[in-house]
Amino acid sequence: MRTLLGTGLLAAALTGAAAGGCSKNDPNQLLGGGGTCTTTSTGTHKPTSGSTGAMSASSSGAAASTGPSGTTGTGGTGGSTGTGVPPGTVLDDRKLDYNEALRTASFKLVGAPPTLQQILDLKGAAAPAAAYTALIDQMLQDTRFAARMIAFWQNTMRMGGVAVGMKPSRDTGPTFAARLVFEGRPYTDLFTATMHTCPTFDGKVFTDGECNNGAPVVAGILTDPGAHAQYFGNLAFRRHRFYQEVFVCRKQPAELSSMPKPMGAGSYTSPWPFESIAGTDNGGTIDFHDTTSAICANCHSTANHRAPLLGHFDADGQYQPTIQVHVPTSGTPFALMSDWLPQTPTPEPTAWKFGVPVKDLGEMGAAMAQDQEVLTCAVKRMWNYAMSKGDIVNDASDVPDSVVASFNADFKGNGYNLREVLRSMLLSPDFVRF
Amino acid sequence: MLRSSFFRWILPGAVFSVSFAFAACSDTLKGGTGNCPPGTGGGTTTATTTTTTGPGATTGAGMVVETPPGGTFTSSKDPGNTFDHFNDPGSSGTKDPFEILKERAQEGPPEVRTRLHSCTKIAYASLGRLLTSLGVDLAATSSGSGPKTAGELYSTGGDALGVAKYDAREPESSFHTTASATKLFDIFVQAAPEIIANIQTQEACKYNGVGKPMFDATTGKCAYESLSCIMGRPATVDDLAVCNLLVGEAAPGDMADLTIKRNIAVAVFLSAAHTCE
Repeated sequence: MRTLLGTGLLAAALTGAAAGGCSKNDPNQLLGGGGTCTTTSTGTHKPTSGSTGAMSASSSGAAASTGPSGTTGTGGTGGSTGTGVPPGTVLDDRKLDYNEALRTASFKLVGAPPTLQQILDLKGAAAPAAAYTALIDQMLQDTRFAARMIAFWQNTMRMGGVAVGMKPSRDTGPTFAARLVFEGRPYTDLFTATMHTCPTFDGKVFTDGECNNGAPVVAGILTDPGAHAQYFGNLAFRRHRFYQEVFVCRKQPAELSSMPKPMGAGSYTSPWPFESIAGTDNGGTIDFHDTTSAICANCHSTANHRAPLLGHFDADGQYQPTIQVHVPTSGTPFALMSDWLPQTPTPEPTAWKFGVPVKDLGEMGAAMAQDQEVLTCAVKRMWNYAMSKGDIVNDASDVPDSVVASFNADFKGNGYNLREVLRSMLLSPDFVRF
Repeated sequence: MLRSSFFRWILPGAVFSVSFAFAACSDTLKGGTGNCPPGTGGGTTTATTTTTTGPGATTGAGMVVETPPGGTFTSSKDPGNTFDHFNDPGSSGTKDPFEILKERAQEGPPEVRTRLHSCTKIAYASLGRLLTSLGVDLAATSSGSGPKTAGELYSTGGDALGVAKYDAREPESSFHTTASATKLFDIFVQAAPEIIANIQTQEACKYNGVGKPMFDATTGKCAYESLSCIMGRPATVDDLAVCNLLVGEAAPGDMADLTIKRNIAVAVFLSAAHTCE
């Protein structure tokens, strides 16, 4: 329990008494995210580009050519992406600048500045929006984009490195995610793919690879040996945090009730029945029912329902028939199911979320692939990458749902193709204005 | 938006550049050429020189005492002092969440601030590609006690530049720290002579197959194409004016001074353009 106490306290300090799905005390919403608590929408700006191309110069401000400054426009009314744009803000002061956008996009897509040829061709283009779009499309096909996406996912997943001794490669997970983006495959495959989930990349080409770590059900990143080795820890709670924070974009607590209950030193904010997880009073070793200093169950209600599914992988990411993670008590014994969930009178089932029971990682992957919070998380991570923000969780760089609403719709409409979503972002009115 | 005005755009980079140029002077001093103008300070000297340079450093037998060029008053509250070490944006990928909340509140409503470009640092690998594309040999080594080459500063500067440490579950830093910003400018300063020497032949800096020198051979002025290439976007009239102003500050007929001014001009523009990705 103490392994999560630090995080729990941080969240608890910010959370206080959560008030359901719309809580001003939810740390995630305090920082600007969370769908139902965002500022009231006051505008209905709809991107004119969507996923079909960059905003045209004529519709977004005069693309005046002013000497060497080239395609810098006057900004006009400061078009923006998505809905909920407050009127009369600094957004209106931005100026359209395709060349500045190209410089930034080039670093993000190919990890290098644009060439002088690209710079001056764009500057001199009669139709800068079309020329810019063509350059973005060209870079999205460049194998350097694949390498950049691997680096993006390495940093997002906080893991990387080749296999050493018994330790598995920690590149396979990021490489698999990057391949899905680069090849325009469904992002949901990251959780549901049953083969080729450990590919390699030689700088030019992806090569199929299987993880071969003994998992009875292969489920994309959920059974990646590198991820399990990287996040090995007591009771598999570190693994749970990894999957929660990276793919749901939400710190603990993972779930919030609409009806928090006063309890002990604070409030119980989880939707789960308090007794649905283990405590020393119902067969557990660790007292997750403790409420004297923090309400452990606020975070552990979700964590304890997921972690058992992640506990069979050993420190090297190999799946074993028995649970391989330990309990941080005297002798550090291997964990038992009763350490997470009560087993009497009937075993409490494992679950992805409250009301979403899953019996194995295959089902958990399927649940994640259908979870709007997971899908929106991917879109928001891409937005932050495009707009040079920090990590949505670790740097608290959350994004209001209204900002990514149109991209979420694109994402759903294009079969969860994250590359196309990134393309739309790079062509969006917000990206090309400075 | 913040970069829409030329001066808003270039001033932070220029201030940053000038501030950290002193560190570059220190490196030069270490090499014994003594090119730092008197009175400009400079952070450190070595035991072998035992020199006091302006308000900066006093050294004894191997001891380095670092004081800022502006004296002991290091706050930006002093309008005459540009030496202001802002707090690191974060260490080890963490930051006080309450500080983040304060910053977010200052930046404006989420619906506004999230639509504005922010300033992540250029990735370590991208920095290497940028330098290489401009003609910098990352494998070049320094000789003897001379200052380190840009390549050496780059290859040994990974920690300062915030590279990932996946064994510690740390990603590459998203944002600059004082150390990374300083290291970046040190690299740009040391890279400048190589860039000036090689930019004309670099494929990335050719337009229709033709490369230009960094400075026009006849007029000595900054070349539009090359300045555009090192910045990654078309140089503006103001960019060219500032570049020429910097170079024009060289003492007439003093080739050594002209070389310094040209190096600083290139480093300043690299810094201004590439401090943010």
